Amino acid sequence: MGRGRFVEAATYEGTEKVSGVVVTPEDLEIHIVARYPLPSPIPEIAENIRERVAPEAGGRKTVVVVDDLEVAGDEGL
Amino acid sequence: MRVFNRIFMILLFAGLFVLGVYTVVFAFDLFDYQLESLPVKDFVRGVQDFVGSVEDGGLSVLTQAFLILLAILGLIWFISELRPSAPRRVRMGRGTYVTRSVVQDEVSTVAEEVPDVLGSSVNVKARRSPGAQVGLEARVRRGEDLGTIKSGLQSTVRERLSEKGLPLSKLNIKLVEADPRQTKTRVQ
Repeated sequence: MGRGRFVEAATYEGTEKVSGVVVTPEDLEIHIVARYPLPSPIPEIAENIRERVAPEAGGRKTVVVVDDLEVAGDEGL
Repeated sequence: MRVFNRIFMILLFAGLFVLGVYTVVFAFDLFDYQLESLPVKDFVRGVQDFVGSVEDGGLSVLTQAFLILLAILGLIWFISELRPSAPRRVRMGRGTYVTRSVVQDEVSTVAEEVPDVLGSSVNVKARRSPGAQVGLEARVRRGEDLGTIKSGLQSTVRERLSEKGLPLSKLNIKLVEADPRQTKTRVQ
């Protein structure tokens, strides 16, 4: 999951924090980081995620944001 | 424009605050300051004369030109305020976005893989329609065939971004002849 430019992509519920997902009453924003080698073009990956998540979003407008592209092995950087 | 507006509004409010403090001080004769002592009579008379000459249509050409210029500036400011601000992210499709930094990194990586390019700087702007507007400045050695490098760079960047599915609506390439000793890489 991505965390947004300023680590702002998170949802807080009580003491729990979910990074990479922003849920508001109207919108659902999912931040992802794609990793090389890409299985398919980036828009396709994002669209697949959107299609899978949208039915569970409770009528919210679902948005998928690709925050970064990383090469395997770069995760710790 | 928003930064300019903020600065303008801060200065305006600061001015109004200072004016308000002075008004209270003078209105209540505090610290021996009195409203009658203010030299505003000349100013009021000047304003009255100006308004009178506007009503009579007796303004000088210079004043008329100044007022027209002021009106045009106001109109330009108003129109620029009405323009919606540029989106932060690059739109790919319906509900899917990619950050500008991703496009920037990809374009930079691809450009610097081209043998003639010694270094690059990339500027990415998001648009309301799908696709990013990319400005690429590539540094090359002096004496190279700039036309060939530019067309090669254009096609390489477009091709590689299209393979990854990163949408590109406009690609502006500027080649800058540079000294290899001052670029990111000397030899490719």
